[in-house]
Amino acid sequence: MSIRLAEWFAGYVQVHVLDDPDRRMLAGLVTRQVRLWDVRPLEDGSYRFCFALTDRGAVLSLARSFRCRLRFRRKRGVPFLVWRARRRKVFLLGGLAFAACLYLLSSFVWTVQIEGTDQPEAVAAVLNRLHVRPGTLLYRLLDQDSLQLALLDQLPDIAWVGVRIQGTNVYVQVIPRVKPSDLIYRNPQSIVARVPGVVTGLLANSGMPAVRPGQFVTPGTVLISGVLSDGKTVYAEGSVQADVWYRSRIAIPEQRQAEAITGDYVSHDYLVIGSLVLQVWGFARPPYATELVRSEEEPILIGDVRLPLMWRKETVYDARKIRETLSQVELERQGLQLAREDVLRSAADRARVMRQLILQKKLERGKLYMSVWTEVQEDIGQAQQIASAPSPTSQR
Amino acid sequence: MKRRLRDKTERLAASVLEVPADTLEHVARITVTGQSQVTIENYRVFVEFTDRLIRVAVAGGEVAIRGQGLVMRTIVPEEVVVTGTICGIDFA
Repeated sequence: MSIRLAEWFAGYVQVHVLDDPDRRMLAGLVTRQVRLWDVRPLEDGSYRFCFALTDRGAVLSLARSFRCRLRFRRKRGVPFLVWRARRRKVFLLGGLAFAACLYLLSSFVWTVQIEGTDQPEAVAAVLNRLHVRPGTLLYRLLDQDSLQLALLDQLPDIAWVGVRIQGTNVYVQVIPRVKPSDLIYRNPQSIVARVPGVVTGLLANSGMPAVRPGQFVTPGTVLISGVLSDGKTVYAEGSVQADVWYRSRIAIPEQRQAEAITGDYVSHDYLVIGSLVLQVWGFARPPYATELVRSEEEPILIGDVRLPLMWRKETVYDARKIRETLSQVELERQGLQLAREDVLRSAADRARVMRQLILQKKLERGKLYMSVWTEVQEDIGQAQQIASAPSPTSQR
Repeated sequence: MKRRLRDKTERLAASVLEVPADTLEHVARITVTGQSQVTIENYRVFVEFTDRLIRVAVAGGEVAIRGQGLVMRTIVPEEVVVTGTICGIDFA
């Protein structure tokens, strides 16, 4: 069947002609110059053909004059569609409503996607001020170039922004501005001694070294000078290692008490439901004089589901109090260790203990009193601003 | 009489001027495309029409198309297109 577009628009009918064995009607149609197509003879001597709807008058009048019966098989084309649509008004209405809904919904912004920035909230806030947010009518939006300019204007942290309005989506591509590193302005300073000591090593990154290794310095002595020989002042930097001495007084008790576990234990199992604790297993009451209890709770799981129940496993250990008297050597060792920790706490970072000496020791009323001397190597440098700088220069 | 005279004159002119015969108005032109389609231009009327035989009156005689499952695809005032399995074309 050749359906040409023009025929489809005009509408056409397929008709089955009965009672015309001599094809008189067909011949009549041909002589009347009616356009026919798909003329097909059938087994029983009848035939059928298609004709355009505009020729229906000729076909009907010929059929009447030759007394042929017609059976209309197919009605195709726009006129019949219109006719059917008229009979189904609600259907048509639904179609129209659908089209209207589609048009209405596609005239809003549905999504705004911001890419390329770690602070999409800031961009979104500016876009919000420009009425670019889900729910805005597309007609109310500015065009893409204006949006780009407005964003660039209001966000100083972006180098470039691309706005693309595609359908109901707004895509915003942001390229953030790479900030130059901040300049650090430093006032000229010198490095002076913080504590007294003997300088062992000196490393000046900038500034003039003012002391030599082996020199004894007192607090406030300039170690690395920020004033250069030509009178210019700089930000002096460096490390000054020195031997520093500390004296600590320590008192350690001779006897020590501790709890030791004998290895004997009893375990109890509990089921914990909220605040209710039910003992489930292990009811022994051990005759321990001193006991140490360790309990572990773990949730009860079925697969990955966590039940509101807990299983508590309690272990009661037999503990025994131990009293021991420390020997002189052990007491001294502990005293030196305490002194070391004490000194390192007050010394600079990365200090190293070089030597330790026990200056005095005295056992009195169950306690060992010690006086410990500790030599530490540490950085004794301390920054001091050069107050009256003649020409303050800055350095990065 | 008038018609005949005109035909004669046309034929004479065509033979003298060596005009191809198919450009003339009252000469049937039959185009066969493979075994499946026959186009007859300048036909007059159908004489017989079944799915095995189609006879068409043309200027100066009759054309019979034999075949199987013959269908007239298009009938317009100038031409008729017959499709189907063509077995032979006879002139009478």
